[in-house]
This record gives sequence, structure tokens and C-alpha cells, in this order.
Amino acid sequence: MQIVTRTTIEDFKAQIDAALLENVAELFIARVIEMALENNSNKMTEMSLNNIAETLVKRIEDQPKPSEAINQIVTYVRQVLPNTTIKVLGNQTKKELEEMIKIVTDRLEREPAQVEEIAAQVEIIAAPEEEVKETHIQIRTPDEFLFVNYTHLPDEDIERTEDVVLTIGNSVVRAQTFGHRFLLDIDPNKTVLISNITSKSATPEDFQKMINDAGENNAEIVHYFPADRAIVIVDRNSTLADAKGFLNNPTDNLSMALTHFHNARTNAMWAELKAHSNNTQRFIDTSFLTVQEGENRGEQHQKLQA
Amino acid sequence: MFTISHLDKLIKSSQTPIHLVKSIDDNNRKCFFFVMASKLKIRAMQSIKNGMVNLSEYGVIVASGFGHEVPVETKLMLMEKYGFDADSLK
Repeated sequence: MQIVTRTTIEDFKAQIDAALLENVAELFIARVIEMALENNSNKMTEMSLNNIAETLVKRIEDQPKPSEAINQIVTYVRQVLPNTTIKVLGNQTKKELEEMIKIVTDRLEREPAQVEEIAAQVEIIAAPEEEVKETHIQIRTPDEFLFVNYTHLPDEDIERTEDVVLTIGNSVVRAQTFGHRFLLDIDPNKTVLISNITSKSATPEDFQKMINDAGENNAEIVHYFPADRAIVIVDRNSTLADAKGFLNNPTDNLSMALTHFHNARTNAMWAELKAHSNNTQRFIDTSFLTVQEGENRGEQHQKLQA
Repeated sequence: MFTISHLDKLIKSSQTPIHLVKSIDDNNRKCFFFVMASKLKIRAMQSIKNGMVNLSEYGVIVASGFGHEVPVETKLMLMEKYGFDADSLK
């Protein structure tokens, strides 16, 4: 794990802001860091280096010029990391980080078709399978956040999706995805409990008990099913019917997640998510180009403030 | 109701202009984009004649859609999220 001190967070923010506005190729890494920092500006922030490395390799595939993107990314990572304090937790070491970066660097000499193979290597370096189950779910205090791995979700369904909403019953959480990773915002006024049942052992009675527990404790219960990499969130308003689909087909967690996030929040939000996802091409033909130029927005800001 | 990310806040506070770009995409569909970019970059893109360009290499795409008419919802979103009046474009 990487521990970023408060001073360094400020440095990070400045670099992230610059990267966000100026360099599209660096956007993904900036967004990962941004996620970790956004709600924790006054706190020590932990961020998994593996999160960055995995996201990094994954998102390279989306770049129009992979080699160029990797060059920029590696340069960026190397610029940033020397200024951070790295604390070794579990089996993640600075040496492993260097190995991950080396893998990405080596990618410069390889063909795009080998990206999958490289991604698999990074996965192995990140942590053995058994440890993934334990370390990739990180529940912190209610006003912080948790990371959840969704490594079994097919890419085409969540690719480029920046925000999704997962619900069960009337419980809604906001989630952001970065490749395979979801960041869930949990209601800070509720206690978050995590269950350790497996999908194979889950029964309607288990769900009913969880719903009852949630009601008694005014809690949201996060159920993580390691074998299926599925997450279910239950609160006092959840019903057994909500869990029915999952119980009937526990490996089909994707369909369940999609079913619920289609129903989530408002249509306006969904329309916005779609607009920013992969249904809009960004390659355009300059033969048919028309541009309405905008002006410097300083004046507009002043008008709005007035 | 729109979610506002840190990136959205940066875009909102930036003084860099937002332009409306219309064209057709690689599937021959009419499309529009609101792009935050310097005028220099936009003019550089305009100087490329008869070719496909990846718009995201020239700036940050803050909104997009198909067709050449910008929906009212998009304009409202731009105003709410970025404080940007799409009707101010000439």
C-alpha cells in the first residue's frame, strides 16, 4: 500500500489538476488518485499501488496510441512516486511496484495483442488469488470508501463507464468504475457491515437475517461473494425478492447489477452516464467540420457570480 | 440532478473556452461535441483537411451526442455542471 502524507497530497493535487486539464493520456491515473483523495483531503490516504498498476495496464488498451500513452504514463508515475512514502503492507513491496512499472515499460517493445498477457502478469504480481479475496475489499470508517474488485465483469459492459449506480431494494449507492474497479460511496450516517457468507451457502433465510440485522442496526450490509466477485447491498428496505435473482443464479452477478443500475436514480442521470460512456464516437471527419468557437470564460464566470 | 466530480469542478473553474464542434463520426452519423480546449488547438484541428481526427486528443470533451441539434437537456447540464451557457456560442 502507498501512504500519501498530507503535504504530498497537495503536491499530488497540483499535478493531478494539471494532468486532468492538459493531458488526456494521463487522465486515468489522475482519476484514480483523485478518487482516493477527493473525500479525504485532510486525512492520511491509503491507495493501492496495485489499483494503479492494474488500471494502468487495462486503460492502455483504450488509448489510440498505446506506446505513446505508456511513455507518458511511466514518466508520470516515475515523477510522482519518488516523492511519496511507501509503506509495505502485506506482500506489496516497493520492489513489486518497480516490477509492475517494468512490465509496463517493457510493453513499449511489445505488440498490442500481448496486453492481455501483461495484464495477467500484473494480476499475479499484485497478489495471490487467496489474498485478493481478503485485501481487495477494504471497508473503512463510514465516511470513507471501499474498493471492490469486479474482475469477472466482461469489459464491454463497463468499459469507459465512469459512474454507475448499484441498488438493491431502496438502497442506493453511488459507484464509480475504473476498468474493473468500483468505488462505492456508503451512506455516512449508517453503519456498514460486511458479511462473509459465500454464494453457494447463501439461502433466503440468510438474506432475511441480514435484512433484519440491517433494520435493527440502521445499517447497510455489504455482502461480498469472493467466488463470484459479486457485491450485494442490503438495507432495511430490501426484500427477499430483491435477492431472488442472485440466489437463483449466483454466478450471474453482472445481470443483477445491470438490472438494478438501469432502475437506479433518475433517468436524467442515466442519460448523462450514457452520454459519457461508449455510445458516442470521438473520431470525427474534418471534411464536415463546423466549429462554434467559445470565448475565454473569465467574463462568463463574473457574470454568473454577479 | 447531476453528479459533480472533481474533474467537473476543475472544468467549471477553468477559464479555457468551451467550443461546439459538429461533424460526422466514423459511422457516418452526425454528432456534436462540447470541447474544452484552447483556441489554438481547435484551429490546429480545423487545419487538418479531409481526415479523421480523435477529438479527445485536442481537448476535454464535456458533453456529446448524435445529431447536429443540441438537446435542451444537454444545455441545462452544461449550465448546471459547468456554469457554461451553450447559447452564448456564436
